[in-house]
Amino acid sequence: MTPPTGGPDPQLIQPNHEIKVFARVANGPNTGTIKYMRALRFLAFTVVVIVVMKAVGQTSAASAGILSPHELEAIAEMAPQQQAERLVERAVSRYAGALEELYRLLPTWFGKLHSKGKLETLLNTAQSSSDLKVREAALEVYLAEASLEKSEATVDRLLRELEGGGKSRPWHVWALAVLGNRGFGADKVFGALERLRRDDDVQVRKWVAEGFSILGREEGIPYLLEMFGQDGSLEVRERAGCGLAESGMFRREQRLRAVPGLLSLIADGAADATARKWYYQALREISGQSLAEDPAAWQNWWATRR
Amino acid sequence: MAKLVGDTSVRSHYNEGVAIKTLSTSLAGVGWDQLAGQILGLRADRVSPEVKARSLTFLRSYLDHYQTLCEPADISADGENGLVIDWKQDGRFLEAVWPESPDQPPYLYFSTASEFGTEEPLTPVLLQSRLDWVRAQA
Repeated sequence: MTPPTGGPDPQLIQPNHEIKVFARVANGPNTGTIKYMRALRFLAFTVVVIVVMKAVGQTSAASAGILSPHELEAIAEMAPQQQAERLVERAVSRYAGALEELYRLLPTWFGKLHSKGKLETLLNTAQSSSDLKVREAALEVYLAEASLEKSEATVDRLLRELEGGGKSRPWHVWALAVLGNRGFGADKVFGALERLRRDDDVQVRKWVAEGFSILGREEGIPYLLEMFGQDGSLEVRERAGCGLAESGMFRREQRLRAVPGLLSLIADGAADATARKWYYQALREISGQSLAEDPAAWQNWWATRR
Repeated sequence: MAKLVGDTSVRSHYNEGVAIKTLSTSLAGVGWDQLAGQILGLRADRVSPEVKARSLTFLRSYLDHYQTLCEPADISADGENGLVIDWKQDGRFLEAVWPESPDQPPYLYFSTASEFGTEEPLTPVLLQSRLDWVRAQA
């Protein structure tokens, strides 16, 4: 993807592990798929071990999981870049007090961060966290890195620039979605995403799909389902699927509302083999169930769940 | 069908300003989770994504004002990719309709044995007023 001008490369600002996962499955039974299946088995095994250990009270904490006064003092002496790296790392590791300290220092980081290297890796991990508060913190750090003030005025400026065209439109879409999620101009941002979901530019549509999931409004779910099922670009469809299933800022109960739509997509005989695999994969990620690629089985699960 | 029983506090009638008994707005209310779940659960080939999004945007705005919505009798497709939410009570019938075409704004359709009509633009205040009318006790 050509890095857009006028802002950070959106490819650097979000986790792509879901893309890889979807792509591997799409490519059929190759090495990537085998690795993926092994990883899944390992993950399942790990989960079982953790559950069993918790059940018998045998988990062993390696540390208190709290930002100590000593560490806080050390962080205070660091440069903004190192502060951000340390606190995002601690937030990802769920250290008590990490998010509070991150938000306390955040205003001092504006324009002083570079989301490359270590911080980029950490922010990608943070955006994949199962804790929405950690994902929110990652968005806040991105805004600080991009020196984007959280205000309606910033939203209006970005919308004007977006309308003006140019290569940086994907970045503008991303930035607007982040601001909307953080409570600024969400209605306007949603309207822009609606308009741009059929843009001629694949990269814009890809970030519109990402934008709907970052914005985290349920009104976006029908559009994500539409893009997942109908967009002419596999790349866009993949992002829409990831947005529904895992990435972005939807809560799990919100993602579950996409299930009937996914079941409809599966029932639609027009779906090709790749798309059907993605639909089932999205269902598995949303539901936590490991049912086979059998429409009746998923219909039954959904009916039972309701 | 909504379970419209209980409170009989006095409210003003929708159009005529006549004080009559109606039910509390807090009874038999549904919140965002239920509404979003039902609307998003409608088949995509029967209600368009645009209509789902527009109706949810409206309902979010409504719930910002009124917290809950009187439980609808039904939420369904209109047969032309649009959406209909309807309420019924004692011979009074109300529909909120979102047509598929963005050129056609959402509207209310109301009817009794002796009268019927439509109203637009659909706003949270208008819907609340008409819901009070639906739930009015003679």
